[in-house]
Amino acid sequence: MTVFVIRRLLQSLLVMAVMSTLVFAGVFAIGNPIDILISPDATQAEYERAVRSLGLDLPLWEQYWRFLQNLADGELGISFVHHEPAIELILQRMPATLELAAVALLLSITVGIPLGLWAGLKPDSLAGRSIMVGSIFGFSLPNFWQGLMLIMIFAVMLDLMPAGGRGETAVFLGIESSIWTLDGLWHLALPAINLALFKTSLVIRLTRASVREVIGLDYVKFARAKGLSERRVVFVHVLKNIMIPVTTVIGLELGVMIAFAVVTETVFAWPGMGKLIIDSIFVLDRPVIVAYLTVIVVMFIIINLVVDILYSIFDPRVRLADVGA
Amino acid sequence: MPRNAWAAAAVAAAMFAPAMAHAEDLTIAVASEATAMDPHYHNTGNNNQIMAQIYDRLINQGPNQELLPGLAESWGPTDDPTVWEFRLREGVTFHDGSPFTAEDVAYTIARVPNVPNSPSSFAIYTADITEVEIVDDYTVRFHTATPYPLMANSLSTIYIVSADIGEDASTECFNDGACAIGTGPYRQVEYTPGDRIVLEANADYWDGAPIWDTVTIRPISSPAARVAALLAGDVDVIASVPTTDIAQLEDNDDVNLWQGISNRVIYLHIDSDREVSPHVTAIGGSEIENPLRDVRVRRALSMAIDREAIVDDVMEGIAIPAGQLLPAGFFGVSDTIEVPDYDPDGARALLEEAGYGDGFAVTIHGPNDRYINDAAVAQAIAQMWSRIGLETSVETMPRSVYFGRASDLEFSVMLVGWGAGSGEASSPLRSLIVTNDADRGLGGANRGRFSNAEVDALVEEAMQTVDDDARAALLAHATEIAMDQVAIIPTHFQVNTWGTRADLEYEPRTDEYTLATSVTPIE
Amino acid sequence: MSETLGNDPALAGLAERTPDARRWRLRAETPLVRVARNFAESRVAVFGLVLLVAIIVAAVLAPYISPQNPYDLSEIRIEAGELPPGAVERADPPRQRFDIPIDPAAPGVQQLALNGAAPFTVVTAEVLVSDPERIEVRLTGEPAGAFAEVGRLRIDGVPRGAELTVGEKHSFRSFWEVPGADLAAFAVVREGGFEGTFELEVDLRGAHGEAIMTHWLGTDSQGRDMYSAILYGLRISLSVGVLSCLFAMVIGMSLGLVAAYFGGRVETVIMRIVDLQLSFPAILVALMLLAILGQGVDKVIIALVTVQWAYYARTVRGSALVERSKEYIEAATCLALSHRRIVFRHLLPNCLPPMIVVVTLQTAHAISLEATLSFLGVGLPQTEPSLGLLISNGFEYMMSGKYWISIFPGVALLITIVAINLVGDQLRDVLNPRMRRDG
Repeated sequence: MTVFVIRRLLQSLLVMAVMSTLVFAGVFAIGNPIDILISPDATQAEYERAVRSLGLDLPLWEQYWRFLQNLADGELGISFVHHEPAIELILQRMPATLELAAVALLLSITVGIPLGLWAGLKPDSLAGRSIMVGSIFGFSLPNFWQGLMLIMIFAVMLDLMPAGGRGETAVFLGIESSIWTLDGLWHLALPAINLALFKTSLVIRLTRASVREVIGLDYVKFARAKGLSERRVVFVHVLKNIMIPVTTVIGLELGVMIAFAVVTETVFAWPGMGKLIIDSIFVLDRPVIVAYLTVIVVMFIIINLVVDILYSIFDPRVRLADVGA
Repeated sequence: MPRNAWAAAAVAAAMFAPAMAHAEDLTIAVASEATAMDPHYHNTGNNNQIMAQIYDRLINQGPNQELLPGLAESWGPTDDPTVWEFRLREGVTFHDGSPFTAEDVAYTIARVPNVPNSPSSFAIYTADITEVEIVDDYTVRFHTATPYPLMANSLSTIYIVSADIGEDASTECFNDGACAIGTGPYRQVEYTPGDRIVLEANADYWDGAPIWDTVTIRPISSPAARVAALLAGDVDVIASVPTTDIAQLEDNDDVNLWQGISNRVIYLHIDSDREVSPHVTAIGGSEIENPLRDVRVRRALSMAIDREAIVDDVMEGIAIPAGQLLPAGFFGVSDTIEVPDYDPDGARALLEEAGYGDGFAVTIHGPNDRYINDAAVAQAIAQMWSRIGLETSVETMPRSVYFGRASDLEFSVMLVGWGAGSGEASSPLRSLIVTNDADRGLGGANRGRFSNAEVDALVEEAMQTVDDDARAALLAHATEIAMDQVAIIPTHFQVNTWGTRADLEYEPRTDEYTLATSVTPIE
Repeated sequence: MSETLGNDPALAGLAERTPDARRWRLRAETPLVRVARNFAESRVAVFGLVLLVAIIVAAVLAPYISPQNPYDLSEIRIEAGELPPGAVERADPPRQRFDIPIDPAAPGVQQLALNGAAPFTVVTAEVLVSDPERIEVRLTGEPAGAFAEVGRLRIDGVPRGAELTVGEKHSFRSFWEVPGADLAAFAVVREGGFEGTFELEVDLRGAHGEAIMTHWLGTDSQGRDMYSAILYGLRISLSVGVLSCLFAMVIGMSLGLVAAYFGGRVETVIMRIVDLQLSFPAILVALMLLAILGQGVDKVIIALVTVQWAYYARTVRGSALVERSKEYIEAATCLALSHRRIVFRHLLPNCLPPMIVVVTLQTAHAISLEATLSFLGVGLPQTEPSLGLLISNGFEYMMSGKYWISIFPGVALLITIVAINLVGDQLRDVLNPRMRRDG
């Protein structure tokens, strides 16, 4: 197990090296940040000074080499735009995004799995069909559209909820978050629902499909034949066996939610990392993009690691040696 | 925020609370956030509109960018046209209580070009100053190598900071508030990137204590979300109301709209230089000699644009058709230039005369996240050009891709905008129209590479002319020649719309800034 | 036969359990027919299939059944923008402009014959300077009284400080807007008298142009017929959604299966590439591709495939890991079947069911992802909008009450996705080897 984890982390270093190379080349291909940042009336001399001061006049490989040198000192670079260490910018915004993603994930699991179970166990009932049709709305309309509809209905028309922004924060258990205050939760509700809509549909459909599949398998039939209560059959035998695909997808979705809650954060003016990365991409703030993706790669690797370990817990047939690698 | 500043703020609030019984808190939503709180770090409107509330300039800019006494009470060139003298206001104190003197001016001018890693420095405005001479505590003289008529305009962009913050005050020091000591109507209290900037009234402000106790500025980049925040009562004032929502909001009794013309002209830059232009071909795609070099073709393109239709149907009436570089009323604008009439028949005849009766194919490139309705304007122009027989296509892209490619001259016809930061005509003339000359810092944004010796000479002469009337006439004349030769095709001037609560009033500004000081309650 | 059996659970169960019945079916039906019959058991799914076929036919035939080519810039007119559903698009009404020169220093009545183009063949103006602060203007047009038919009328050139007795000055522009009926007689007044001569510039348009066409679903901001735009948009959205999903699925599933089956180095390499890919935001990938390749439907598909394949790889690997350790794979290995055969004929079918859910969902997701890319400004060309782009463009108009620009394409997208999912859900049940009713 330890060897497995260590090996996986070592591989991750390689992934990050590849990633940073790609980002350097990719952002270079998109354009020069100075073209966007500089005041339009700047002279050529001023333009060149700005390019030099950000080190953008050097050949790409040399810029990359400098990045690696800084990395050796534990620095991920300084934002071209904000002139602050990129990693600090990201860490500043991380709590806002984490709390949003966590609440959205919680919502999608607590709503999605029971509804999916129901729809899977009683596929032909009215409720089962309604759940399935209803879930289609969750993913067929674009996220930004749903977000603004939520604002229109709950903030503007009914005037119940705030239209955006993060509420008051408080410190509890050493974590500063807006989920500890009423005002914070109030602000969090709409963006979390917006972010959870698609995931809930996904979880419902996936759970239903897996239930439908598992329910016909022999071991469930045996369990029923043994006279186990329906409750025990569903919650022990069925639920445990549908967890593999569901866990994979939820794990992935958590990563995706944390990394790219871009649209929700934009629509709700949520001061999180998604907003930061989209702004940084649009002004080609390479140090922030690189630092951000580094953080995200690490996160995905950890999530995948956890998911792989969970596999072996949910399904003893899968051994970590198999997941291996 | 250092502890003592907090304490000072708290004391100030406590002291003035009874006196300002009517005062309230104000929340403003802007479209884009400031990149840093250092007033000399990044020369961009998003930053400047914040700085203008915390810091004063020697000369402040009024709502129409007219020059108003700020920290200088009077100014002007001395008998020697290369020396300007500024008399400073006495009795002004910084937010930390220290007095404002000529030392602070000298310190500020010295700091401007030395801000590390500045992505867009204010040094372009101070580069011509060779020496800052402190005559006494309240008199400063600026020396230049040659006569510099734009001295007052240039210094109206420089925010004065306190010399007490020390030689190497860093951008970080401003961001965390320790160095953010100005003389402006508000003081900086909190800066949370991506979320909010909180300002607090400077009760000792030399021009009278401001109306609002606390001002919170929040960035909300999505236009619809910004409008929703105003409608929901989350914010009191919003900037950049989208044109599509204006008709609806006008009927809403809970909201007031305030409109003002801006200094920004939207125009097409045309490749009038290269023999073969990358996105101009014969119909069918074969390479042809660039027809845009022929002034008759350029005139035809301009005549084929129905500017009234763009204003009425794309901008929902919230813009002004343009025939030159700045709207009427600005310094150096020509009185004789008319907005070209929409005349598709005349345009076709001109094309015929130039030998392009069968038309040609052209692609208009434009940004889709930079100007009001930019992508829609480009499409509307493409429609109009296809009516005179040109095979027109449109390609729009985010500005991060667009401007770099435009500067690399990858396009043939491009939609761009220009806001004259100095509020007078030399700004667009020198950047957009004058022959591109990197060594002398001229024509930097001349992406069509238009070149006309007469225009160049007139602008150059204007830049040596300190007398205002003579300079204005020279600039107007240069504009007339450039427009006659269709150096660029102006389409419209942007009009900005601010939205406020029903009981507030906003005084629109041509520089597009959203300031708490421009918001007043309606009695 | 099967219907009657299927409708009676007891009999159906009997049929399932009777070996004879199964053999009989296997002999009589090809697998395709069996799938079709099982599929037809759900009426909802059949309805979905009919709907989907209708949508696909409509999309394919768009150029023949739509009244307008919304991608042809010379066919659409900005002047017809934002028309509500059912509105008739009219050609530009006749427009006439003339100037009325006024000399306040010349008292008395002046008769002026002005520009006599359509719609008013003869226009005469009477200018009466009676009072130094007030100048009366009387206009007559042929046909007489025709000014009542004027649609829009603007008078510019009113001197600074002066006012008209009719109409209203525009809030920030220099002209006055005057109702046509008031044009026959009005006055210019200025307190303190006039300074020098001036010209009133009158710009008027007739009320009605010739009818061009009726837009049953309204028009968008550029004047595109919504109905035509939706049909054309469907073509693009469907092809973008389906193609990108198909490619992403083929690539992702192959790699995922290979990774799970072979394990070891192969798996390490593939799964780390997946990690890498998943961590790249779609928007960054799209922006890079846009910068390197340019704009276009094919580029959007490439971007979506790039973004999505890793997702499939990761999901399918999860299922394949479990399946791999089962006996049938072991059996297949013992039979010395080729790797390719084991992976694609044995492993793949057993991993398919969860994948079908993901595919039907992701097709929908791809379409809305494309819309989101457009919303963020890096999607398709503005002049050739997809359904998603129509929604995101129209979205700006939601608050202004111009619902049709966004709602109709939204409804079209919703129906399409519902149809895809109804079909997909049933297909999954039918294709699943373990849930086959007769299996």
